Amino acid sequence: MLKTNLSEGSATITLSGRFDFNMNKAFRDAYESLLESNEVKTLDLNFSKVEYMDSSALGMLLVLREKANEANKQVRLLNCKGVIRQVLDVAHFDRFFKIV
Amino acid sequence: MLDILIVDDIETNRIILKRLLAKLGYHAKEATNGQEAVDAFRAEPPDLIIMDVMMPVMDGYEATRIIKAESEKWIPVIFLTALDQVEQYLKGLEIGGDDFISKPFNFAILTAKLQVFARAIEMQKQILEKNAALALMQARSDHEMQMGKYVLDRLLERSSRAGEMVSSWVQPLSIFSGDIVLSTTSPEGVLYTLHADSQGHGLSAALAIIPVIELFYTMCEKGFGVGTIVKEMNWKIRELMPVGYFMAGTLVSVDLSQGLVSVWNGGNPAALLADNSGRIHNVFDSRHPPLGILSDKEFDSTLEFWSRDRREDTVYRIYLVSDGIVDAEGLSGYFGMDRIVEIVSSTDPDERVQKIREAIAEHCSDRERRDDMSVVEVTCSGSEMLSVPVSGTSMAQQASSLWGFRISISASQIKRLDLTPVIMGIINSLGVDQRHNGHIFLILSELINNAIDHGLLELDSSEKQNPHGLERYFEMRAQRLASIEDAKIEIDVKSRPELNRDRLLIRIRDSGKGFDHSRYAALGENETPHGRGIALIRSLCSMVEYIPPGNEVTVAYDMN
Repeated sequence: MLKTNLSEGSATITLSGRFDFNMNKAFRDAYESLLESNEVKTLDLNFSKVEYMDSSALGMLLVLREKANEANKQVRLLNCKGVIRQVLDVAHFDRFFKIV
Repeated sequence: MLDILIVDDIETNRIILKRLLAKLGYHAKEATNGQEAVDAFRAEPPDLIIMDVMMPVMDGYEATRIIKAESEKWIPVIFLTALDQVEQYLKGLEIGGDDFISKPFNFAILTAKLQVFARAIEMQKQILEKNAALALMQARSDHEMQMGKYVLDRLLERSSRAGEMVSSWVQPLSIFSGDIVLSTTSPEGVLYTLHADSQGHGLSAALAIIPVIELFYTMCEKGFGVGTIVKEMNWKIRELMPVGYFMAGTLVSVDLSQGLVSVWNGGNPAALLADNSGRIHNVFDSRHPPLGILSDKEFDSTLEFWSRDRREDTVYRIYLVSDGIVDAEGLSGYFGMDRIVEIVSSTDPDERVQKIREAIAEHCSDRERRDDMSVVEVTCSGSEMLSVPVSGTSMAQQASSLWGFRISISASQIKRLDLTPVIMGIINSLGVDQRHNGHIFLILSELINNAIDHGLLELDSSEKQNPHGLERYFEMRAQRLASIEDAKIEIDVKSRPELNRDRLLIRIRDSGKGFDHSRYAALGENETPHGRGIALIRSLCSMVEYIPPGNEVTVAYDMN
């Protein structure tokens, strides 16, 4: 469901499957330690394997953004395609995240 | 302590078993045949039964069958079988027995088996207790939900005020719907419709909706513009709800007298505007993030407009769908916006909502649904609409002759805000020819200052003519402004098209006692350095009308 990779000041969390409220705890657990780490400057979320995301996932992203801002770290959303991209576009999340 | 029923027609066996059970700390009862066992069970169900097979009157199988059928809880039955009687053992299990022990008894094995069952029975007891507690909780929660739903339904019921102009279909996932449709009309007959999709579904989604409902009715019915209303909703949601919560929303206003449709869409699927033939004239995409995310400063209340020609009497309808519909999964993938477009384009206007319902039911068939679903249809008929779909800023200019707004400002805002630029900002965003900005600003500023200084604060301009008068005047102004409490200023700006020109009507009314405008107007004519405001207004406006007792003024400014 979640995989984390670290390299050169950036950490990547690779999400897969359905990104919804069921992933809340795993997602939070995954980023919390990364936000505490001094080495991590940028946190990348890799969406290449996500099949679906709902509004609670958007909410989880906003919570992450808030925490990342407090920790002075940048969050980027990578490989957002198809329906994932549509959901992010409709909600205009490019205002809150760098979407690559 | 377990209650164990020993069923055996041979007394020696019963005595041996009873002693063993007593030693193990269990309480034992006895029955000498199947019928007695059934009677004992009916009188008081034991926790476990040790049952012989061959007995007079009723054998162990029959007794077990009856007990298993009648018992509400699980009562393990251990059969006593003769050694090497595999068939007996199997039949016992078939009938519902749980285990067997062969005669003559091996005490070690019997003890071990009883202990296993004792553990299972204890577990069962705990489960039953927890189930009972859960059922109680469930019942309480259901009751709470029903109460909550009742309140919410009453709140939502007011929507019927907008009558037949708005029809909708909402299918909630749970008892509460996170999708809501509200509609009402302003005092001037402008129809407002809000289609909101509260994040998630169920109780928390519904809870966040309540303040929005209140805001919607209050502000719409006072005639606030769409931009102001969504801004207020955004602020309210952000203030009340935790980070990560938001509400997608589309607020539509239809002003039939002007033929103007204004839309703010944040996070909802595109709204479609179609005529009766199915031609889509405009698409109102989501232009903003959902409500509740941005701060008041970041919030963008830019609207999209669409207007129709008054000469034509085509009926237009606006379709709003929630993402629960667009993202509904079926065998063929997501339902999709294209499908909505296709249905709207190809279906008889009165059957479109129904057709969407049918299509979505077929699409999802028996798949599990994951979100609330809703469709709204707003009908714009009665007047005339032109097929000039214009969007964004270009529309704002073209629609310059077609808008109006009213703002009511109370003491706290009067103290805090510089009103003229605020009002000017609204006028500009609605669209006036930039060349008139200077004049309009001047008129507004004079009118507003008069309303505050002379109307509310009852200051006398002649004071300014005394030595140090100006200083004193502003000191007094500051003092009185700080102490006002119940004051109110209403500003009503309408842009009305006239032959060859657009006319801007500005009406300002304050809650003061009224003041003698003629005195100030006269001062203006005498070219005194002060009190020139009204004279200035008169020179710029084609009409200036004070309404007694002088706390209300209407002016007309013509933009050629």
